Amino acid sequence: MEYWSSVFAMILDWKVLVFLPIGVIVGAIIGAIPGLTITMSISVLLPFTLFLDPLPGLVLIFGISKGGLFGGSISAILLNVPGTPAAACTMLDGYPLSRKGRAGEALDTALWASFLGDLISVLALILLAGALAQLGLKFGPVELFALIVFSLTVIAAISTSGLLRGIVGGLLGLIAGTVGLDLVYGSERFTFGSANLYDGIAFMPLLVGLFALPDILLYYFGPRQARKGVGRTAGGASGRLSMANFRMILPTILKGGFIGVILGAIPGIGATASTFVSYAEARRSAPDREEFGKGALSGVAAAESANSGTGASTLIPLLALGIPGDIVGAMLLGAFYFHGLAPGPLLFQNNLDFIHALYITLLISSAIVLIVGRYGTQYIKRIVEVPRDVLFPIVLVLTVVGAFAISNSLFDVWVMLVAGMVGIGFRALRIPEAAFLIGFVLSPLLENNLQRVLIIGKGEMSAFFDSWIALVLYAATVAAVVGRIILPALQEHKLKRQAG
Amino acid sequence: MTHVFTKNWTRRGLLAAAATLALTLGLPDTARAEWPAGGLRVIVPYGPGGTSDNITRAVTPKIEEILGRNITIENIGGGGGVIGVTQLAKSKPDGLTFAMVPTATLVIAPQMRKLNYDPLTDIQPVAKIAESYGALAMRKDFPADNLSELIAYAKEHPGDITFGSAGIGSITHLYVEIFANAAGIEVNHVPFKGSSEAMNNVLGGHVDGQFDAVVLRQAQAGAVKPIAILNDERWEGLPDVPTLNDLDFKGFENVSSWFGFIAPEGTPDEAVQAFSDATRQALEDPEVKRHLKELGVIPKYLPSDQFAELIRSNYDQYKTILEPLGLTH
Repeated sequence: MEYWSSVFAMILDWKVLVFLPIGVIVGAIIGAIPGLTITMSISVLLPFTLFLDPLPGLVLIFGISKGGLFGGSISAILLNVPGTPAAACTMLDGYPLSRKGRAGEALDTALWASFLGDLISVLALILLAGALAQLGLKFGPVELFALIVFSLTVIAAISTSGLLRGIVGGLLGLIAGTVGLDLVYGSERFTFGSANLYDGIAFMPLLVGLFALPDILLYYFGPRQARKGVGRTAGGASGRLSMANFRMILPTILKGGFIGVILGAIPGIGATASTFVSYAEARRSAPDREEFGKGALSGVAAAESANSGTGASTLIPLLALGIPGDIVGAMLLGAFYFHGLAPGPLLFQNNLDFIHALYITLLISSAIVLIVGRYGTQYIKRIVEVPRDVLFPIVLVLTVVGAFAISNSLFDVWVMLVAGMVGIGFRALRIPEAAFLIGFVLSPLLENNLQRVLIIGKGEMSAFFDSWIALVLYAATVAAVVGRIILPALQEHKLKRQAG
Repeated sequence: MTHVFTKNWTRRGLLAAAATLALTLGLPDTARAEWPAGGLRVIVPYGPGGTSDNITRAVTPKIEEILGRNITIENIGGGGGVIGVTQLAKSKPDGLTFAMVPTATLVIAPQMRKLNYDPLTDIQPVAKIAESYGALAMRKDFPADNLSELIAYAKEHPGDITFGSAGIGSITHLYVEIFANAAGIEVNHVPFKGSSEAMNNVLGGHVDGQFDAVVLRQAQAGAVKPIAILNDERWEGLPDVPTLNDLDFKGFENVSSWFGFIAPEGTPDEAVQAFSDATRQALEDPEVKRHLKELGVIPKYLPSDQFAELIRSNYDQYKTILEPLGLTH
């Protein structure tokens, strides 16, 4: 009894109760604005949190990162401009929904998927931290390689304009992902001698250029026909997610949440890649799978539940093993040490009351995300009703400033403009941008782990099959290729023969 | 990722500023011409939140106070740190621009790639601030418990032991190669993206060992097998683990992962000296010391000339490591 009263005394501190909603609101706003990143805002606030007690300080940081994971979806759905990299996948179905006048439903879907994904993540952290940390450790280069190979099969699924075009898009993405310094030799690839490209093509400018710019450029400079298509949104944004649709997307949300939880517990994968794995799985199993890429609620649900699913589970390696899973984790590790708390097994022995207080505040913050999202999106979604002649110039300014602000780099503005031209080319040739995007996101993970497997296995092929997790993933890949590509192709062939 | 962070004036800072202003006004004209008055800019060549950034934010408030000048921290990330250092090298050498840099940007990256700065001629070293801890640890079930067993095992199984690192051309990668050279063994280097990813792979048994600071806490928790500390002194968290010196292992004498302030070549001596002295004083402050310790680094000051010597000797030594590996440009 006394123990729990001390736990609740920590939580009922006014600073905790005030900072939690503030963090979520600030995070959602920052997340929604391209160019302002969660990492940036946390690092600015971190020195300030060191003067607070450990719990209020950490709560502020968690609030921001949770709010940010949801906030990124708002601009992705409404403007085709992802506020955060993790919202890139949300855009693939979110914006088409918005264009069909279903922005309200898409936002509701994103909100519920974020809330439930986050809740699953927190519960997994509370109940399964130890086991998940151990599972995460099992993912070495071989397992990650197999996982990425499986995820690439989603390219077949989203290729609405034919498999060949999808594969071309995916390959171009894989190639674009190799720009920068090579992992093993550090040699420059496609950098043209510019240090700006050492770390590869910057993700956010590329994303914004590829998806948001073509709409705007075609609207102003394109043929009249294209202009018509872009300029109109059918209907308003007042729609809400129906109960029937909620039931339809619920399995996808739950699965996405678990995928996010597991991948979040493995350092080095990140929220963005997790969304595509979840998207690949949902495309296989969701009831509205045929709509993927054209405006499927399950597509939005898969992406948002997975990125929020990583929210608390990235803390698993940090708390259970003392290894930060990402840059925010690394900053948190510093904050923990500053307060004399050493994450790792000892934390659970020496500071159990703190851990429990942390868990409870994380649960409360999930609810706050739901409340903030529910009321916040009421108004913001009306943005789709703004006439294009007013909205597009604003978005254009936002994209240019956003591309510049992420690294204070004019080079990135050029990256965005070039990506915009490439995007227009893709549309003209009907190459799906989404396939390119997936190739680009997964390319470094695929290549780096391939290289590591080859180094560790000294070039032996058997090294690729030296793990049961990898074997399961290869089997899933074969099943996906047969089920999605070969069987449908055979069927089509048969139909044609019957007709002929 | 870039972002500008302006420190507010503290009251003490204001007082110090007033004092300095009063002093400056009393100085002859020539001195004032050499180091113009005004706020200072410290470039951190990485995004916010990394070790270089954290160290900078830990020491600059004290330096501001001592110098009585406002300091703006500017994160210019990208290119593994070289974009920020290039910016510094191109800046006007007026004594108002400095940068905080780790080892790799000055003594490794410029040897591997053709860059727009030469660390030996375009950079004015100001002060070394700190060193990271470094340690060698192996996965828990590795069949060797100490350095001599490890070396014996490596000789029996040439090329079989895998060492993870934070990436090609990182100091943790150089540790692997320097160790292999010095011990006369053949090992297998596996680059990861960052220390955490490498650590994860040691804990999961996907690679055998790692040279890094992150292994220390893991060794303390019994999750990995510590073999040796790379620094001159033992780590207080693991007092029984010997240093390479204790083990009489040669080759790591000047090798460490350090952090330091630099300025563009041609910066007035007065500015370099003042900034360097202020750094030394800041490092004596108990609060700064504590903060650095929590960041996992050891405050270790070297003045401008000795820092320059360290850079040159590291540069030459690493050249002999990188060249045979075919990693120089």
